[in-house]
Amino acid sequence: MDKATINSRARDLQVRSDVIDSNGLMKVGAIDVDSVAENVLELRIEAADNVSGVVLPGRTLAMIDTPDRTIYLHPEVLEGNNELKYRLILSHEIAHYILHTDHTSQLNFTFEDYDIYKSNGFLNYSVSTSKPIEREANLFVYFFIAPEAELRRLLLPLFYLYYDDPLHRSYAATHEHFKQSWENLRQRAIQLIVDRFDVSAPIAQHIMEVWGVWDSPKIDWLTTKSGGRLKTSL
Amino acid sequence: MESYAEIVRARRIQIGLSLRKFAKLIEVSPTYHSHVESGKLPPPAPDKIVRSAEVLGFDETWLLHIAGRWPEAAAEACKSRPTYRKLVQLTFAMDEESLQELISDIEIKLCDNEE
Repeated sequence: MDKATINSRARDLQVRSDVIDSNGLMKVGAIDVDSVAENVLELRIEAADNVSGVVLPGRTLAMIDTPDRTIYLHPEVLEGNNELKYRLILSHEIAHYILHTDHTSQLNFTFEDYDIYKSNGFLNYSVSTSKPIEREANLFVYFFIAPEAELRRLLLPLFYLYYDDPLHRSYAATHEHFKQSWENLRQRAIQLIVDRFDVSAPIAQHIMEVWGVWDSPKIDWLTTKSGGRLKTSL
Repeated sequence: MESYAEIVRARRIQIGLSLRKFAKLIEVSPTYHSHVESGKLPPPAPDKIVRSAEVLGFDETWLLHIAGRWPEAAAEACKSRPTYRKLVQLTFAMDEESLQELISDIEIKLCDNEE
């Protein structure tokens, strides 16, 4: 499944969940993933233990049982105080439900605890993984928690020269205009994303990576609004 | 009739409370409450049901009845409230007609209080 398809499914769910307006901008703070799961998708959330009869093996933190439409969470996740971890895990299981239930024979999808870890004291959750369906689910999570239009709106004040251009062009132009280091611009962008989407700094970086605004642009020249040319390569 | 589990879950979702937030509000663990909502564990203790009714905007007596915990709640009230215990003791010897009169009087009193 390609990135555009995954983003399209994430956007469909955002629309159905009424978390974005007609311009694709987020209406609320961090997306209420519980409400999306329970209210919109009509999934159940239940603890995985001896009482439910679903005991997760090894280091598994969550599992979605698609025929039963139930997301089983390890009590450590359900009882934990880390809201971001909880949101990411729940979003990941939702991702499998949205992306993989209609074209695979697999009925259960899990989330392992080594998929989520600490990086410099912050929660991290890498998109990369060797399993294609897990990578797709991870991408969905990033597209879902940080809608494209909202990300553009957020970063435009920072990259203000090229409102109609793709983000990476604006990024290049701003770099050239302000004579700021890429690192400085990146750090400012990360802070904006952290504040808006209520995520950790490493996850903000992943958001920029999946949307292609982390690496410096490949183009060499851009035309300014006044017709001049800016060199954008470093 | 819908079960306690179904009623509480449907209302919680309707008013936009997550399982974790709701569990925190009624001071039980989310794990425990998830099992109550799935019907794998029975409804909680009467005081938790009363708190649930407050949070969900239900009449507490009705919710206790749905939960099958009304006798338990009455027994608890008898223990903790001497006046209530005395009232219950006095009603033991009353016939049906007298009881009905008493209920009517209490209902009038409650209406007056509300006004």
